[in-house]
Amino acid sequence: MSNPELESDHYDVIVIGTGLSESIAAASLAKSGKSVLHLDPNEYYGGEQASLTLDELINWSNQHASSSSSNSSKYHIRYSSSSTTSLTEELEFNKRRYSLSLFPSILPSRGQLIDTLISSDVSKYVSFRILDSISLYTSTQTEKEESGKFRKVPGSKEEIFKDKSISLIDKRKLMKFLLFTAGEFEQDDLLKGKENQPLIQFLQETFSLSSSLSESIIYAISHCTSPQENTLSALQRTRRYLKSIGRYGNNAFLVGQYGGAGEISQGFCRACAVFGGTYVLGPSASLTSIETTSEGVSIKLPCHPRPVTASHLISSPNHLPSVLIQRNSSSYTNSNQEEQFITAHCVAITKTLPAALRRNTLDPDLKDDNEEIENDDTAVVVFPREGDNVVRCYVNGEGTGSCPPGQYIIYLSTALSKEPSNAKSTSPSEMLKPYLDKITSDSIFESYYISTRLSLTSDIPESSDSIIILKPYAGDELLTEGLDWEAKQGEEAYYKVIGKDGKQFFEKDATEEEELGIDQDDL
Amino acid sequence: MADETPVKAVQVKLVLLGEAAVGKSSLVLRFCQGDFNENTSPTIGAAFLTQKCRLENRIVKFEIWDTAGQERFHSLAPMYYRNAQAAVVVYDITKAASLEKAKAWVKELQRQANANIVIALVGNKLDLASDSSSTSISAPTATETPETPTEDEGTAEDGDSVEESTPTPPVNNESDDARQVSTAEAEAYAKESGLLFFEASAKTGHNVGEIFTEIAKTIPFDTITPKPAANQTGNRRSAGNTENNNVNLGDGQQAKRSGCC
Repeated sequence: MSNPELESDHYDVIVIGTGLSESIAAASLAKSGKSVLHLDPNEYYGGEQASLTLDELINWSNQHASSSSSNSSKYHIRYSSSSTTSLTEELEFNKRRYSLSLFPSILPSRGQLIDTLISSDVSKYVSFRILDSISLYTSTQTEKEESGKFRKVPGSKEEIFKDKSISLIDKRKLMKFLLFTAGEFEQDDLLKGKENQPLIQFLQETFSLSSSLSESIIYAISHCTSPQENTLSALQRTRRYLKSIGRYGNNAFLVGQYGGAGEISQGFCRACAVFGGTYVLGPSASLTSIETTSEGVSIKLPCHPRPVTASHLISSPNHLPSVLIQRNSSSYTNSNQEEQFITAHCVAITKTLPAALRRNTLDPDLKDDNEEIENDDTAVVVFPREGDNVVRCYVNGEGTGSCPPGQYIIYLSTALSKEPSNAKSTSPSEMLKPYLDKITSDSIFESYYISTRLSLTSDIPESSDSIIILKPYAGDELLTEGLDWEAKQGEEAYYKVIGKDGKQFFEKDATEEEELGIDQDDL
Repeated sequence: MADETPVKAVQVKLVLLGEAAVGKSSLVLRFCQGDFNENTSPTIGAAFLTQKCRLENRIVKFEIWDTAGQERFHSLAPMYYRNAQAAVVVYDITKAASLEKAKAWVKELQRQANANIVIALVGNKLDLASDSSSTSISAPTATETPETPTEDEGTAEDGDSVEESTPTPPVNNESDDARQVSTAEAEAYAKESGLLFFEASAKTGHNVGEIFTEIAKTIPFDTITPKPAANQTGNRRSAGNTENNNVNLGDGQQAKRSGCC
């Protein structure tokens, strides 16, 4: 079967990479009537947000095994020190039944991505469930051994009232803080002058919250990496999470099925294709040359005999030849301006229920309703560490469709100190294995890696208006912030192509409901 | 297969596959809207179409996914195959190469899709063959009155009616017959691979409804839709069980706007 060539030598927009932000940009532009050519040199969809099968993850890991990442310093996201355990026969047999995310993340019920999913109708083919629980691990040290327990953090007002472990006085203080944070606190006298205080100090001094309640707020409600985070930014983030509670359920967050971010990217790619976008993946989509012209860009591709031109090119920085990025961003190469975010990651699989997901059988409320108590299928578990960044754990069970029945996927991550000397001293497995052991003692697969994200603090100076570079998420709160970041980049790219006065992002046509709504439910 | 008195529509995701321009979208438009448009442009604008199919004891609501052109460079996303319970693989009886492509898609389905997916192989553009009337027999005869929905007999039935069809040789000498794929050849392949088989015409509508009726009858519903009683125990969690657990994002707009406090 010979490969077909492209239908055209010219497109309005070429998008490179099928990560979430690129896919959102591609879908919105196709929707607005632009002709879109969407390329990804990878064989799989999703780019940095991909959800991989087990065999794909092992291939991916083998490519990033090297501990030094210097040879790939041009990349804005780099992976290194990657390793995996080998596959048992059973895993080998089931390898395609896993969706393992390179971008493990939960979605706030209010925010950019939710809005985009709804306005684009991509919500019709991507499915979500409510996150079942958020727990905090507290260790109790006895003379000889360290043990600990998982404590579920109440997710809503109702749950706070029901929680018998919080005293009445504490409940009142907590409610006062939550009410303050859900409101327009920027002008509030309580905050004046304390915007840059560490959050922990603000909680304890201004709201007289106990250290245990402060810890719960910092890690399980505000999802901070460290208690030292600046109060204003932490409160602003917390407000969005608080407003998310109750929209779809008692938890602020949603879990995307089948690997989350990667599946959502595929949904936007499908939307783009439905509106006429052309898709090429794999080696035949790998650029062999790119140059800017007076009308835009001109690229060469293995899948087309002639150069392909476009008025605009949208890409994540990793997919552009370094020459182009350097030419486009002379200041960028000055490494003093970059901020690095280095994170250690673990992806593990287990066949036994992690203790943190067990529902409390002593809770009388639950016992009355169901004789058989349903355990959690998804959970976020946080491990606060004295004087160090939090270790986050995110568990996906069979209900997410990302693993075979009875199994759980465990994602662990921790932000490393920004001092490069410290970062190199330990391997990701040495750092995270102790926490994996607290979650489960019998994993059947483990994979570890380090990611390094460079922030593009100042916009990349673009020599040509026709090239739009999407900024990858650079920060330590990827779990709760990554998805909305991607959605925001996608929308910004859309307006850079269309202009502020053009059609709105995913604007609906008047006749559209009629065309799409063939579904008359008469039953 | 207990009798459930209220007839409830069962939702079935059906994916279309096949080479470009074999008439995938035309078949679906004919099935869903009773329409045929001579110059259908490559599929644009609809994520999927839905159409109900009434059987004796149940109503099957097909959610039909078109490739949206993503098949051209082999770039169909895994999402496309996800939870598909049925597939229609289309070739063009006037293009021998399109059957080869269809075979490749069947292989891809066997690799990517659910193990118990029901696959129908459909030779489209029967109106372009001079023997169009005689070949129609290759469809199972029982389809016109769907009275005996026997889930397990579907594929076996196909084989029985083979001898009645008059296969046209691939190389034909009649000038008005554009057929390049004989009924016998495609049917033999379908039988050996366990596929339902039809020749149809989206243009005339011939045999189109039968494809979907037969698929509806063949799908092993008892294994994919657990009985409501079963939901309360182990099955509540399962990813495919969308009714109870999945969030309908669109609902949020009407949902209570109250935040935490």
